[in-house]
Amino acid sequence: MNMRDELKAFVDNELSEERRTEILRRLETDRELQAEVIELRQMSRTIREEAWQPEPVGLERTLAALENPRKKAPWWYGGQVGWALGTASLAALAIIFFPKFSGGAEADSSAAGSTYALQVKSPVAPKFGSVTTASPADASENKGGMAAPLSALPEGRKESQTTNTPSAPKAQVRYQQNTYLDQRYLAQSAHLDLEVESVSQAETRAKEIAKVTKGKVLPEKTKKKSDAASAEMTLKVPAEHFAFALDELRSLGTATTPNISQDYPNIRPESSAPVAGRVDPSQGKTRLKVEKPEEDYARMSEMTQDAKTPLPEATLNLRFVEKQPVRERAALGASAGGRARVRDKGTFKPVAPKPLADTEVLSREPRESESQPFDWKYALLALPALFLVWLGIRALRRK
Amino acid sequence: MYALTEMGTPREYNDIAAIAREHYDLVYRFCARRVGLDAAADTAQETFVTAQRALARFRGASSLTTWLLGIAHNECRRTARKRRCEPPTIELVETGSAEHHEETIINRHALQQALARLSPEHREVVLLHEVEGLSYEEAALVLSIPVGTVKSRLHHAFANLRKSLSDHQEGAR
Repeated sequence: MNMRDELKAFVDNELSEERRTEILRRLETDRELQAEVIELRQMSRTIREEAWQPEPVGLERTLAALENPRKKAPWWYGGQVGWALGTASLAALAIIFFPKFSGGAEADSSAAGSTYALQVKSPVAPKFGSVTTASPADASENKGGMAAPLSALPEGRKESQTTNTPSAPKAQVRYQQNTYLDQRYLAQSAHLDLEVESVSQAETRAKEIAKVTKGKVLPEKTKKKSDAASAEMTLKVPAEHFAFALDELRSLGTATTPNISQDYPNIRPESSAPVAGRVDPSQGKTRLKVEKPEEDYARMSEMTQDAKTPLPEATLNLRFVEKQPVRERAALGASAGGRARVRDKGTFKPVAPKPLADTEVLSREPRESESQPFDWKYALLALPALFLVWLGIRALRRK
Repeated sequence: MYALTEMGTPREYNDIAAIAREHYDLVYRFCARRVGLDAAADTAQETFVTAQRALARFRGASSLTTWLLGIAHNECRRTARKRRCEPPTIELVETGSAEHHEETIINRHALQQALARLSPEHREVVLLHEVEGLSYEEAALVLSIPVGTVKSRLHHAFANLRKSLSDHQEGAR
């Protein structure tokens, strides 16, 4: 090492004996080195002697503090813990309230094959005249069980806000946009068996409904028995008017074994067999048993908002039967195209459905036997709670 | 203070009080030069409170002074961060002990300016060694750096001071 680099250490007496001797020997002959040593010593002495020496204060206070030592704060008291908790709380709240941050749409955690009920809120009689109750029970009390001719669809197509209020003849109809039909995913059809007062009037009415909903009657599928005691007809209506048309048709008579089937061709391309369902018109909803992958349910939910997608047609297979005197019915056979379930023995007389609250059109209700799986994301609420507790403890300790 | 550790770990209040009385001035001045007069008393108090808690762990590897100044150094850094204090300064005050008064005044003023131009790291080692009187090894323990680093920093600090003074003298001529 350069001797000059060690001059300061030499002046401070911080060198080994050997090195010190070497420098001393050199100093005897090197005047420049001598001058440098002298300068270093002068600077060092000046700094040492003339450095500011403040007058100490506060000794008594320190002694008093030492007499009553305070306990060291616990590890979790530190500010770093607070920062970590606060940041984690913010992240947790973002995940809970902004699902985008949780990495995608929430999937239904129910197992495949679960049963869901699709709530179809049926439209109530609109502004247009005496079309009243959608209740089949009351329909028989009306003259011919028919509603006034439909001249046009009600205006203001909004989300489904339809309720069955048979006792409110002039209730508003707000029919729903098709919120659960998507041409890509669903094709919907309904089979409706109705017991009516007059088959011909029911047919006329059904045609009116088809016309108003901008649908059509398929003449090739219209059959009529010679005794006019029964008739079959098939309507095709735009899917967005399906619910409205269905409810209007239900109001024509007493439903017997209606059946709604849904096909999910993209899920089961090899089979388009309809899935059995059971209609409970008294509740205004259709309970279906379906099997589908979770992702399709998520897509179905998204579809409810898509009003621009071209919508498919829905098929309504109708069978009108002229009302017979009240008789026992042992079993309700399957109507064309589906498997029906016998709801109960005896005359099937749906009760007036309760008005449904203004909610989303499509809701999925698991069976009572199925329990909702716990959504673990709500466990993250523990973090903000813990953060608030931490803040509270800190505030109390400061007091 | 080696005897302190020979007697075992002093846990009684009297011991820490005695330590505080003996070393308070040194610690107070150490803190004042680093965090200013306003915060010096609080920082010195925190130093001894911390020393009281840590006294049981003191094994006598260094002198008690070095150990206390090490604690004081950490407390000063914490205080400086909290209060956003300026880096330590080396102030020179006239003591009237210089033999050549005029030359000293010039030298002192130039030296004061030169000290102000030092980097915080250089200023720290100059304070520890020159002002507080610690050896290279003790300064290294307080700063938690190698002895060679202290030696190097002191060399460069004084080299810069010499250069500044030399430039000042040439300017004065």
